[in-house]
Amino acid sequence: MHPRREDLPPVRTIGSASSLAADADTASLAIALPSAYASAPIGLGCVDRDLRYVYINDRLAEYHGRPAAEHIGRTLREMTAPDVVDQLEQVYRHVLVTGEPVLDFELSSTDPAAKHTCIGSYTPVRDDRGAVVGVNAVVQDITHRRMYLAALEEVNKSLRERDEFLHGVGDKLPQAMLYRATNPPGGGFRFVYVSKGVEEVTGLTAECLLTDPTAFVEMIVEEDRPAILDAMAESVRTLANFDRVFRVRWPDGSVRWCHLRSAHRRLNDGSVLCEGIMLDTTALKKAQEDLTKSRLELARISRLTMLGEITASLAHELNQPLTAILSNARAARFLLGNDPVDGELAEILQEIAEASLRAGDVIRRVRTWVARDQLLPQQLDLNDVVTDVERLLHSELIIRQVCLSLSLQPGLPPVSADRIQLQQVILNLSLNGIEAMHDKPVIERHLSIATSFVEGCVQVAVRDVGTGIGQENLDRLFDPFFSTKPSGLGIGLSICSSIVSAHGGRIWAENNAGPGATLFFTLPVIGARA
Amino acid sequence: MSDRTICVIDDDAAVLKGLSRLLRAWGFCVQAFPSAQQFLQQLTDDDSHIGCLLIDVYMPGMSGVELRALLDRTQHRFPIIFLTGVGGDTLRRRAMADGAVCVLEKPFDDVELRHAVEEALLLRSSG
Repeated sequence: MHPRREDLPPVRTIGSASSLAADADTASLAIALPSAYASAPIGLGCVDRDLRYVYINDRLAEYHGRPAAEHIGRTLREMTAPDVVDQLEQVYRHVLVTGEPVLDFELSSTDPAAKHTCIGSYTPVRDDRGAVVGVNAVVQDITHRRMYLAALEEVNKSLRERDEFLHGVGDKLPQAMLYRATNPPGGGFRFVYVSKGVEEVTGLTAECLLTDPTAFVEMIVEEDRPAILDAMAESVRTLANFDRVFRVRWPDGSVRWCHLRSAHRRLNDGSVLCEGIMLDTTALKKAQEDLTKSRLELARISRLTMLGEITASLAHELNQPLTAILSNARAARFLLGNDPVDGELAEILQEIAEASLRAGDVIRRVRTWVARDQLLPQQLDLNDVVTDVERLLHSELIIRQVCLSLSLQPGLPPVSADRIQLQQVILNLSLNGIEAMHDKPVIERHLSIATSFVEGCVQVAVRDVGTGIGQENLDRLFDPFFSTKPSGLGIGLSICSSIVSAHGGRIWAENNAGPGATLFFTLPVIGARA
Repeated sequence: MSDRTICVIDDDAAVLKGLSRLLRAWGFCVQAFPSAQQFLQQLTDDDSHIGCLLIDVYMPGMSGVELRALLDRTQHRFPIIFLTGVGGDTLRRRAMADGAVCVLEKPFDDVELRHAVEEALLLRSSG
């Protein structure tokens, strides 16, 4: 759209243009310039001393939301959005009065008809004598640029926030390091980011890892290294997640466990980006090992006590007939007297007796060997032993879906006992209780262990809500080889009984008023007479 | 040789019979009881005919140790020989501390038995 020529001001009144025209072909410029001004992508306008428009191009008119022609002869006040007109008039008047230009003046209007943010430069128009006769305006609409900038600022802000979050998390996680590493297509590998936890997890500085990736590789304990490097290469190749636990050697020589998990993705340049977390799991590993060790130890002691119990019972069962055989043989020999006719009979009886004695010796030797003094008595708080057992029972309770509650009387006087053997007793009683609730609905399965101080003894009560104990079985419950379970060996409770007796204590069972039974044992406290 | 009776108390029938037979062969008067309760049932205030007791330590119902403790609370005082199928120094020490003549670990030979019984009867006569 081209404005009509008669709307245009005379070329010479536009200061800057007239100096240009001096060096160029004035005639062609006189034709070209007005049309160029009219269609310029920048607002151009000119007012006289009364602030009436003498010229305006289409773009500036557009900012005002009115056609260019309407402006001519009308005042600034009439044509400009009411919310900015006062400021704008001030600028124009300043230029008229002082003759100084006002450059890069920014103005925002919220007027619905002309909602713009513009930046304008206002320069004086002078006549031949140099007097200011009007104001020339060059105005650029920067509304969109503003919007882009605002949007960009939003994006920046959210990026900054995300970055702060990532760094915050990465740098504050205990015993953990977040990292990002790149694997270029040609091979090689290097870290591009490691969080602050790096020193806590690797003992190396961030700088060391970032500049020298081999430091990381060399840190992996040699025996673990080939497998880990293979798995890492595999992850880079297949983009599968990496998830391994391995050992690292710290610069100080100590060996620690770590758990590394990472995700991989291929970038456009063919490199594989690997982002993940490395955790120091030494403490966890140690706790697991301790638990396994104490389980193994308990199982070992359990086997030993069971062997001892079986041997003791077997010895008892065998010694009875041996005693009868021996007594009978001796009685027969005595009755035979010194009759020489029955010399061979006497010899037979002597050999029966000797064989019986030899059998008795064998049994005694086995007994002595198995029942080697296993007791390691120490001062113990029974509450601690119950807590040990709670830990040992942890997985069993989950598998059997039983809820355990402890009720420990604080400040129990100490007992002198073998810790592992007492763990064995409480564990056996608990397992027995858990077993008794097998047929109960999960929601009802509840086992409780309570300690108390009763009549000079420390008492432990293991209570279940299971099937209870048949009245006829209450007395035999702790006998060896007595079991109400089809698969039971009848050794568990018998072992408890042996251990408790060996510690000078007492063990018994009672049916609860409600469902189930409670198994009790007491141990004398240190200083009390057994 | 004492004319007093030796009471043998053991829940194992074969042991009870064999021991009684041997003691009788030696010429002692013997009374055999398969349980502590049955022994107590025949016990009267006049216990002068009883020379000593041979008691099995482990018996269902009332054990030898419990019988011993029960007798301690009465006016009856007999020398006691404990018989046990499951030995061990702890038990021996405890039994001896309780005033038993001795503890015989099954299986035991005739010499030990005879020695123990004679010592017990001697104690009874002198005590």
